[in-house]
Amino acid sequence: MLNNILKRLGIFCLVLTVSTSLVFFMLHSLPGENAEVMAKYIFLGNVELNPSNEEVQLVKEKFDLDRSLLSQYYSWATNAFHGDLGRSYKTNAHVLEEILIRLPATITLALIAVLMSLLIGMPLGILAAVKQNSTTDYLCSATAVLGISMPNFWLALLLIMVFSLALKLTPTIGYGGPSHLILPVVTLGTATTAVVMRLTRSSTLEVMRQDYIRTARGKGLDHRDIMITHSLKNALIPIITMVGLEFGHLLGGAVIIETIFAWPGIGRLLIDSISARDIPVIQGTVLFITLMYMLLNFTIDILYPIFDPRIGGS
Amino acid sequence: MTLAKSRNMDEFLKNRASVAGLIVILMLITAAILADFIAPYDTDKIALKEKLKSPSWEHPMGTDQLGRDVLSRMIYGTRTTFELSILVVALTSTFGVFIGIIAGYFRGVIDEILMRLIDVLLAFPSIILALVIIGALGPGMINTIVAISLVGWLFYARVARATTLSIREKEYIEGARAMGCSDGYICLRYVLPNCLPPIIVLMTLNLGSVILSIAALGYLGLGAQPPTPEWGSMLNEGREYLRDCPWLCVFPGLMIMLAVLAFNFIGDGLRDAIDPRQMVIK
Repeated sequence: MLNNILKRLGIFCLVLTVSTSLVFFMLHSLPGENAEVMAKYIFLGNVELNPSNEEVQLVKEKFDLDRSLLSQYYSWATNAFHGDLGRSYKTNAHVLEEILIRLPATITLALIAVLMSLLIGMPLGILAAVKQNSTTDYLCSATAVLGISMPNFWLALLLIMVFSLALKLTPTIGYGGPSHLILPVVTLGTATTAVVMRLTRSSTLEVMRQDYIRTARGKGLDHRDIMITHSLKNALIPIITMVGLEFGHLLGGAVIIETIFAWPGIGRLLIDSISARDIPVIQGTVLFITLMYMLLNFTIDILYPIFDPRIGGS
Repeated sequence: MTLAKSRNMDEFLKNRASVAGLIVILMLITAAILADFIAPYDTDKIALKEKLKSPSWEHPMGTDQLGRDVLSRMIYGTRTTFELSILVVALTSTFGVFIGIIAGYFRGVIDEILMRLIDVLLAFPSIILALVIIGALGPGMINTIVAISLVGWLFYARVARATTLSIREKEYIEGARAMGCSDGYICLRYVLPNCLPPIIVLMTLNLGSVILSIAALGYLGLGAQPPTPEWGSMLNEGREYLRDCPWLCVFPGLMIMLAVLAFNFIGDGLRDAIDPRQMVIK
């Protein structure tokens, strides 16, 4: 067990190092342009104006942009390890602070969306599996396909159109009370709900074909007992793995949803910083999103043996 | 072989959803090719007198904030979307399959390095990685293609590698080796054709998600730039007029969904027809 955790921790650190350096090199591969963007903000306060060559040169010297990428990455990584992600080119604010202020908004959104997808997707998936090939099953499957194919940004606009503008039931955009959560959560959670439903259906069907279910039936156990204690417990394993992976999609989706609903999370921060070419903020937000995604999957890997003792034994 | 093929075809044609998907895609492709002939108006013609007109006989999908005909822009938008997505899928599948076959056939250090690289790249949610690349290169259509392609090949490489791993153990490969065929010839003549069925399924399903990514980036203002007609950026432009002119958002979104849905149906049908067990990723 401990060995397994240590091994996974090693892989975790390795992937984190490689992925941050990859992002760093990608963002810094055009050093001249970076210096130019910084000079624009520092000397002119506006990205639309062009700085002079002297100004660009000054910025390069001040921020050591002429150094090799590797040594620049080394200083970034050392600082990041000590909790210093640098300052925004645009606002000069500490990147870490900017991220930490916005992090709760994103986490709230993603967690409630996951919860929604499990609470709606799992019962519907089980229902579809139990009533396989019935109208209910087909209806569930059709809704799931629709949920997966619908672009979330379009769903957001449709929901705003119907529930905010026409029926005036929910606020259009913004951040505040629980009512502000409804539309963003529904938009973000729809695709995941559909995925959870499909997976629960197929996973339950798979489990229901197993010998031990037949044995349980043969013993004369109650249908409900079989479903809950025998089927669901085993059907849960792939669903848990999938939720970890799906969380990444949710974080990606949050980027778009936060922009539409003016939700002050790190997704919106990322889009704003990309438009402004604010490299330290892009680098910082990507680090956090990757970190959250990896931490969640790491935790799921560690917790796996609890759900499936067969894995722990090997 | 021919018998198997025709049986697969029958199986595919029995699936009504897949056939419907195929018909929709064929219609969209025809519209994209014949855009110059069937679009009723010039897409760039600005007519401020005609702006924000609701759908009518003259303009079946209404007009936008600059008085341009939405239907014509949708038809040309089909062309933009299909050109971009087919290009992306062609690039990513070719590169991904090439890498996957090399990793799966030769195994060893190359395989280990390539697969770890893919693991690292897959540690990011794909849209985030695409956004980082656009963050580095700047917004625009070409950069969108580059960003989505750099992320997209990973899945092909994984599937191609997994299939190659099982194919390389087959007796006919051993036979080819015994006959003195070179590795390159074996990969091209025996491994590649046997890798194709799952790859074709993946390509169809992938076309749907690539269309979604292109539209999402267009919607965020990072993909195709105005005045190029593209579904995602049309949605973005229409967003401001959501209250009074909902048609500006309804039609482009509907088209995106229709195209994605159609590709998903075709992909599902193909997967069932070929062999569901060959697919290793969802």
